[in-house]
Amino acid sequence: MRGRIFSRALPVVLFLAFLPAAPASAQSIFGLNFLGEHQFSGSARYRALGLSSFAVPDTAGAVAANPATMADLSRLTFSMVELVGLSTVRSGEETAYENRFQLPSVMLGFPVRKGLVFGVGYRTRFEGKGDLTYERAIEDAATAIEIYEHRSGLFTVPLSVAWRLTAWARVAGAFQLERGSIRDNTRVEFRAASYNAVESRRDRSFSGTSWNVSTLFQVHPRLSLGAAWSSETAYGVDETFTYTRAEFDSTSRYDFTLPSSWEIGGALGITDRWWLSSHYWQRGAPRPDGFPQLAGSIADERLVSFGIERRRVQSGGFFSRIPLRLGFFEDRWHLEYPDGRPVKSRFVTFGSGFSLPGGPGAVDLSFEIGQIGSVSDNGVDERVFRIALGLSASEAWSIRKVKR
Amino acid sequence: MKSKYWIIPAFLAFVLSCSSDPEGPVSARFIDDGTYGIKSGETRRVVIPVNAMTVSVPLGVGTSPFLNLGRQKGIEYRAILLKFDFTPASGDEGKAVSSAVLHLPVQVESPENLKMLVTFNELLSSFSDADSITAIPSYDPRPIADSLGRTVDTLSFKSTDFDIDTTVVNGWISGRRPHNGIAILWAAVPDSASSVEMNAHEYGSDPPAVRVNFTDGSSAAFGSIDDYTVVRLERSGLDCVGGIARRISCSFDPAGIPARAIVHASFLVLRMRGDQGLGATVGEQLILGYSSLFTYYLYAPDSADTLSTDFRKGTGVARNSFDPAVSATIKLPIRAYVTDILAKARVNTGLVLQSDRELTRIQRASFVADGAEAPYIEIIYSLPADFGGSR
Repeated sequence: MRGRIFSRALPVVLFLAFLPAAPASAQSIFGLNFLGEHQFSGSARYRALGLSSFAVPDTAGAVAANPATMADLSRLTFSMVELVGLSTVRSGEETAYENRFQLPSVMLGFPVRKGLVFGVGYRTRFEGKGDLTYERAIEDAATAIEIYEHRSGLFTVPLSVAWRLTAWARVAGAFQLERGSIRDNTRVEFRAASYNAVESRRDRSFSGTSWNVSTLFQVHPRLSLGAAWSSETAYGVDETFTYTRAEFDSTSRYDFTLPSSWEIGGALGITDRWWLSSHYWQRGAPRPDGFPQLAGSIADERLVSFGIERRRVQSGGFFSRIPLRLGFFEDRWHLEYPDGRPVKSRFVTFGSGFSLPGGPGAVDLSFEIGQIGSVSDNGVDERVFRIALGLSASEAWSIRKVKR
Repeated sequence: MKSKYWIIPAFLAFVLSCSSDPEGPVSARFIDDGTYGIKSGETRRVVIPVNAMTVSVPLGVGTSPFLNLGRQKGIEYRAILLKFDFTPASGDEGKAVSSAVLHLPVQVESPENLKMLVTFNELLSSFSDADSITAIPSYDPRPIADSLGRTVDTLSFKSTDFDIDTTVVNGWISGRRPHNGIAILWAAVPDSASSVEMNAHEYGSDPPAVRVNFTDGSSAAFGSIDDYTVVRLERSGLDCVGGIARRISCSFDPAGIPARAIVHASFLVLRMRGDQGLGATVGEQLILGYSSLFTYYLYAPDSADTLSTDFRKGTGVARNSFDPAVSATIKLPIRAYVTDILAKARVNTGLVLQSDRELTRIQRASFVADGAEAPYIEIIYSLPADFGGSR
């Protein structure tokens, strides 16, 4: 059995091994200005349904928007989601074409007995990345090149347990190690001999813990409801400033709190094949500790989403044997730019999936077309096309008994 | 199982085919209005005037492998001093000289077919290669005559052996006449770009020598043991000269540079007078293979007092070379020094520019001393980035 697990994991390992070679560039351009772009955790199926399938039981994957759905896993399951985005950023007369690469989630689910599943993995909470370059003319001297490098990544390592209480009720709890960092590096350099670069760098290291509880109720064979609550995350932040002249270096520490969040969702089967789903998520506005320039520009974040899925059947033509998914979501960011003008993401999504050839598991694809921000409200907008690929592989799971 | 692997290369190919534009222009507004919260410190260029002066540093300069007589690029090679070892070989003691020739191994004349008129005069006091000689030592004004009584000779590539009075040579060999050396002097002021160059004993072969024939038919040669070219400058200026040890002292006050400045680059900027610059003579280039570049050494002296011996040594700041025969502005990098004085890691004692071949070669770099092209210090610095953010 162990050999089969490793052979099944081979594509995943190869996939991860090639990640550093990917031409990762900016995440959302707005992600420069706070913690980064918020990443909602969920499978590619969840994404194809416009982040709406919070209350849809999904027995194929361990990456779940609602951890309570993991209670239905009967096999050791490895799941991951990768995301590639192409975007056009417009600001005034300027336009830039960007690409993005992200690894939002990797999870492993261990069923220890029927209806009781442990999970561990990695989930990206916020991610931001930017490499900005400007030329500054210096009178009677060579032209200075100002380079800004921004890297932010807050992530969670959830240690979760999902339990199917009854045939219609599932609950899950998770203890979450919250870690991450934000690094801002500015460098002024010249393309001339005998000129040295001048660097100023701020590193902020975030560390904290949080809790999450979630539920899923199948109140009717065609109606399920879900709800979840995540505690606030009190981060301790170690801030370090380093400069080319080391005598200016300094360190400090402060606290940053990410408020608690809650969410609800529902899924309604119109027929056996056609299902509607919806999801609402909200978190209160964090205090802008560590971001004094954003005082007055941080508000509640809210996600509203809807989706419709036509599920697969085992017979019929090709399109009958694959699911078809369509969704829409609007995410109102914490960030307002400028003050009072929220940054909003609006996306239409669609996708499908198929069973993993060779064994239990699934490959899901999601295509997302949308816009972040608007020129009229924010002065900047991004027109985004994303492809999400979800991969789940499962194996039967049992404890090997050693023969004496 | 194999059928699922296609997805990996397909997805990687898609990912790797992507590329991004620079993000600077579209995100400039976030930095300009402070939303991003980080802003690079301002970058500035400042110019600080330099108080520059030429300082003469007495140092021995007698070890050059070539001796020179004439005029080049405002440098006057006024005299060649030669001193011979007239100790006779075993068996030659007490012999009388019947004829004597002063052999001067000329290697190069410039221009071609130059005929330089010279006299040979006895020095009244001795010298050595280790001395620092910036003026012709006292000499007997009566030149040494040849066998025909002539006192003025023509020195050229084709004329390198000169009869000299056997009475004088007999006196030197016997010890009855003191030998402090001889000076080869101009008999007439040569043209401004003319010189002859000959081997010094440091060249390693065919040194200047006094060759004699004794009355018994035997012969001997007495080579030079000390030889020296005496040089002076036609016009004084802001000169850095090797061979006669002229250095340029530069002092400046960096007050006004912010304490938090971080230096990108800093330069001592000098405007060179190419018509007064000499990297190497023709002979040094053709025979010795020397570069025509002026190799400089810039240091921060241990003392700013030009009369102190500590002024002559210090901490190296830069060493490199430039062509001194080209009229151009040169920038000598001094970033580390300026960084140190801004950080108060060292005292600002100024900078001293010298030839890095000061002891062995006569090189000259001449600079404009005043006016719009006077020396100055250029500093390009940035302030640390502002991480506070403001809107």
